[in-house]
Amino acid sequence: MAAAVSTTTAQAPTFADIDREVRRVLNPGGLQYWAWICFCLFFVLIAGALWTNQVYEGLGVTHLTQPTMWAVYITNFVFWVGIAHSGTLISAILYLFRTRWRTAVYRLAETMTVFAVLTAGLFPIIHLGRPWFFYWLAPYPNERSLQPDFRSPLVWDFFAISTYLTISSLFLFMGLIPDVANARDAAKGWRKTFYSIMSMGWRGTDRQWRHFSMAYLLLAGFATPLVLSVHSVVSWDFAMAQLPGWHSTIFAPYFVAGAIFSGVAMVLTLLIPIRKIMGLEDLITPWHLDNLAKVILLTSLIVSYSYICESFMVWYSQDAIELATFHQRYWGPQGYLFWMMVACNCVIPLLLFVPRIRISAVWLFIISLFVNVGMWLERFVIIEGSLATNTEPSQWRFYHPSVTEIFITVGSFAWFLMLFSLFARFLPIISMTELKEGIQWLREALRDNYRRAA
Amino acid sequence: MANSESTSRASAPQAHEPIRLSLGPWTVLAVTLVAIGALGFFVALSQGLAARAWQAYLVNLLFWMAIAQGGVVVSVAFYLSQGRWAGPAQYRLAEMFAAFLPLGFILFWGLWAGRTEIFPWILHPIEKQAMWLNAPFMFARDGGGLLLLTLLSLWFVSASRRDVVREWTRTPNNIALPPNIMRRLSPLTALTFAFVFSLIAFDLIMSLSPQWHSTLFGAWFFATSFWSGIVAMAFTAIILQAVFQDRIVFFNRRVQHDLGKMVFAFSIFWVYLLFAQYLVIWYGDIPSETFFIVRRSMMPWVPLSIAMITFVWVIPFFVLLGVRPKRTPKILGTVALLGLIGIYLEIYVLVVPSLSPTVNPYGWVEIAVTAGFLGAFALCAFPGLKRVVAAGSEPWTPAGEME
Repeated sequence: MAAAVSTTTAQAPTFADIDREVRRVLNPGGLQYWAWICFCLFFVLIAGALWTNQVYEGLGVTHLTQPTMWAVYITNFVFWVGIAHSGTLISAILYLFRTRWRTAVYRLAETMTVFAVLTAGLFPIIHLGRPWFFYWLAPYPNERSLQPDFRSPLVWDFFAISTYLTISSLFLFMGLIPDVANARDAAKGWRKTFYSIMSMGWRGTDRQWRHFSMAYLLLAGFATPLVLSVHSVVSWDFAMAQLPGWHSTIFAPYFVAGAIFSGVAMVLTLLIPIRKIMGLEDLITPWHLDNLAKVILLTSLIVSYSYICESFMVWYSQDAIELATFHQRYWGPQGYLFWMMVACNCVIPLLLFVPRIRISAVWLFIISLFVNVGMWLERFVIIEGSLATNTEPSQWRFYHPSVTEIFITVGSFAWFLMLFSLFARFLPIISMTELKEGIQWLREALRDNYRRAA
Repeated sequence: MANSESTSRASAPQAHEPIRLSLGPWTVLAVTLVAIGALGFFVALSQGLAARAWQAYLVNLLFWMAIAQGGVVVSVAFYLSQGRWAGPAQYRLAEMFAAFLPLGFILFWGLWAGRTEIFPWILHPIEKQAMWLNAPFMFARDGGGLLLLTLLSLWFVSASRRDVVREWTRTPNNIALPPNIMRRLSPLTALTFAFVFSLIAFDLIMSLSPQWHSTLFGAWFFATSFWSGIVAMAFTAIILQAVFQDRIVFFNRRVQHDLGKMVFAFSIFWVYLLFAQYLVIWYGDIPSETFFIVRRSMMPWVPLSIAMITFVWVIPFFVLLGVRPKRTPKILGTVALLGLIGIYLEIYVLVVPSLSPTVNPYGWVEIAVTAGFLGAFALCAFPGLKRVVAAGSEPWTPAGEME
């Protein structure tokens, strides 16, 4: 099907071609699709059952104990918050920069953002001994006469994450309006009703477009500082402490770069299969892949720079405690995790310096998987490793995840993929509006076939 | 959006021949400043004010080198992001100060003569850090790094002036990548810059308080350098448009707006990196980290610290928040000039309190040395300025127009 379409649209896609291509994805999906959803659901249910058991039995079913009271759950939290970053980077910051290639990929990235934040938000609650009291974080001066401790970075986190979720959902929802209206006009049955509600009476009048552009610009402005602030606050959960391996001034920008790094890698992990399965090669071109790959390369270099600076500063200061922690990080019993992380985050992405690799979907997919693994390991090494080798060598104790923790982690991936796959069939995963606005760049990317690398 | 406005203004430069700039009187002035600086410096040395003379020398070396190198890296960033909103002129503008780099490299070696006055760990070695903090190794690594960076930057700048590259900068409305040479040199220059400027920050600023360390310090310093390049560009562009009016591309409101956005955005980035360090140090409350900030938040330094943040972040942020101020040359020019002063203060406040904790020595020595560096910097920048004017007055296609 994709091949047939590309012969008609390759040279000069029109607005109608874009509409047809994107609407084509909006169908109920076949048996394979629903089998995939059930597959994901299965793991979600397993995770749910194990969590229920954890609530009933207590946190003893995990391997969390002194000194590693934070481990896989918090790693997952930071990982998923990180994944959420690229969406807003692409939809807000690159919008303000007038970046031409963002049009075809930003909706997907933004959707991923919202679902990743939703996944991340589960983990602090999963990690609670009494999860039904999670609302104690809310700063509600009430009959409990309790105020959250505003000097605690965990409270900052609560605000940062909830603000981010609010803004990124609004941003996603608002950007969808013209596209949903477009889908509404072609839909029948319950979908028509659904799209009608979602599009909030959009008719595409001049006045609506003017307000839309203004609101979009405003939201982009609001969202931009959030890209930096959310992961900075997450990094401060660690950096504020005096724990060696955590207390470092570079943490905020380093975590933000790492978050964008892993987030864009996740965009590629999702984008490349979708592009292949749905036959969207004419809308998501090698030009788009190339630019996403460049963002990965840049952030990989920033992350590598941070690793080097961190290690250098420990050596420069000759602080005995820091030196001991870092010695354990490199050469201790879990040192192999650190070196795997370096391979995944610093070495393998260097392949992206080769232009040919940057436009190869297969290569990019493989590299993106390595980056995802590497960034998960990075958080684990920082969080678990630093706690395991804290300032009291008599307390040192390395941690290994329990079955419950492993399956809840797997379940979080299944949950994320399930939500994302559902979205992809029911709402437009590519912005028709913006692709049309920048159709000349798309045409150009297709016309030259972006051949310069070959 | 603003197309009608921009096209009417954009068409203006096309009517004119490229402008040839003559800078005779200004050259005389610059040479005089250099003479004043050299004289002041040597008088200070002979009067027993060697410490002050060398501190002023270091502050100025860092400041002017940061602008020159920052400008080159802004041009690198333009190539990497395929920015062509002001055509060849934006590239010439960013590369205008590059000729100072070789001079800066030579002046860096001047520090060798004053090393005992500047680096406290030379007369009082710190045993456990001596592997890193020893004069021969420090000069070798920083000198080597600067040499590499300077050569690369000059190669980059000369490649950037080639005809094929200029042609690419003149055609903004496509997705073509820059010519191959720029695609290779740009990332290389950027990486070398990040590496070498981190070293410079650690060695020439941080090591003045050898007990203190901050992992982000190197990155903050190269962000400082990047921003100082941007404000120097914005200031120059505003002066040029005041002189040449509609004969130069910087008269275009959209170009001013873009420059204003750059000043605005990277000022926020600068303060973010500052805050990221401050908050972690404040919260961690470890004496070996806090003393560096405590000293700078007490007299006699606190007014300068506050002024620095005001000029580099508070004013650019609040003044340039709206569209109109960015498009008002007088406002943008003033903000940029204050920004340059702010960066100067920043480097002064980072360097001098480490060496002279309780007294702010600023006086005739510092003014003379600064004047000397200003003169030398201007002399280096004049040929670049002529290129900016020539490039800015040639025909130009605005970016983002539908074909």
